[in-house]
Amino acid sequence: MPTIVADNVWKVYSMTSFRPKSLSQMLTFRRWGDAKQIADARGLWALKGVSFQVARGESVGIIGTNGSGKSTLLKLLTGIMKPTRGSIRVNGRVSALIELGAGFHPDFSGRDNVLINGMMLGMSKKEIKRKLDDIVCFAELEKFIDMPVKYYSSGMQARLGFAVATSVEPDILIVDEVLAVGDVAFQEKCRRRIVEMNKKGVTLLFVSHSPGDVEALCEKAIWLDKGSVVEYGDSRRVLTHYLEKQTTGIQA
Amino acid sequence: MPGVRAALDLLISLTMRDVRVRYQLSILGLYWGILNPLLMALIYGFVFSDVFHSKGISGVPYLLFIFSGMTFWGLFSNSLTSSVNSLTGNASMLSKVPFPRIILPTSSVLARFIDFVFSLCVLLVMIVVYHRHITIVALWDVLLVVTQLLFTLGLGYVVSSLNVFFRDVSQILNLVLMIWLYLSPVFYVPSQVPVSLRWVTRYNVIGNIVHMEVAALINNTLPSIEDVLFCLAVSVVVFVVGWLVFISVQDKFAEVM
Repeated sequence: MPTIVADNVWKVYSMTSFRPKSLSQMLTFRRWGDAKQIADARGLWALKGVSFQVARGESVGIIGTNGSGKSTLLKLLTGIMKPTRGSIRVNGRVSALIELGAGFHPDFSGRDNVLINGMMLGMSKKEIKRKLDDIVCFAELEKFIDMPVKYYSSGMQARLGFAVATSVEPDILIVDEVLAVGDVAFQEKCRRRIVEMNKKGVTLLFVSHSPGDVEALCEKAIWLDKGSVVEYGDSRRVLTHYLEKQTTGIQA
Repeated sequence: MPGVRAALDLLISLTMRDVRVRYQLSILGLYWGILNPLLMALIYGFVFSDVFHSKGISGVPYLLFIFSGMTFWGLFSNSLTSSVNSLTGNASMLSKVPFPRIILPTSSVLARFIDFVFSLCVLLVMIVVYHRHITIVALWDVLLVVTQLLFTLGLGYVVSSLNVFFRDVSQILNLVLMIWLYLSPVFYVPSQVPVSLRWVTRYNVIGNIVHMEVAALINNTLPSIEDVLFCLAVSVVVFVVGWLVFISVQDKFAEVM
């Protein structure tokens, strides 16, 4: 049974309908218009009929230029947003490494933030307390865990965020560009943990601008361009085609 | 249901964090929760009692009347002013992490409830200082405060979610709350209102609740069952409608933040 089924997914942001931001704007725009109509007319769809399936335990890279719809697709997969048309079905617990430490409160200690962050990711207080030592150990923050997060470096915050998000024991792990944060040693540690989880049967969706990372981590790849799937298949083949297109684009 | 457990834990933790943020980083800390209503009561007491010669419940010191009114009214008004920004103030969380959104406005209201408990302690001290006796009648306030919380949560869900789409809501709210306060029997008693204007206070649910709470606590006045049931019914409806409004628009939050 596939873990993820995306069936003809279309997405347009409500903002594209020029929905008024304030009362004065609402009064000056006579018609806000329907988001779908405006998107059709101006080609503002973020995703245009994306369909694909991912089986349990697979690792899939998502590649594409800026604005190709990668982040939109991830947000639909995590359930942060809903598709405008079509459907996305995700079976299992999802953990998304979209922005590490989103929701960390700068005035509170690392420990307090781990607790709240863990609960936001769907763990109970008991569960997260049990895992606290492992999380702190992985993030290598034993000495700093009781200090307010605002005194952490961005790398320390990212380490803590990564440690919490991967401790959820998800069925599906979604990773968006986060490997660009932190120093080389930490990147390597994260990469190893991701591979380890994938080997244990966790489905991996991985977004990166680095073709090397995608090839190393993913057996398959989805190439998105302007909201549509150009190619989906073996990651090496898709990457070759993608890179060919990129370089011809630059030459032309 | 592990999800429900996690959501409840998150609600409690966010509430406690909200309370701590307010007090931990200020020098006077918790005392602000006491100083604020006390100073407000002194000022309003001066204006309404000494300048306008307004009368509260007969036989009850005016300052005590106003302070208790402000305490119960404050639970309503502070809850709404906090919850209106609870979503817009956490935009990064909403656009990155999928957790039950309704926890945010709910925790704002609960945090102001904890503030309220602190000022209630001050109020109890004040009642003792004024040599007044609290009787069993005051237990009605438990039901009345629950009613008030339902009403407040329902409105909180509406204003917080609408504020995501129209930032005007938080501005309008401040204005509405000010007008609402003066239309509520906080500085005066309902019997002081001219008969021709009674309709204004009759259907003012939160005003009625606050007055019943105050009268039961400091004057041992039994609330009329009819009024309590009316307020409870309206509050349940407001809560349910607010919840439904929130649920129906929450999928759009991440898009417009």
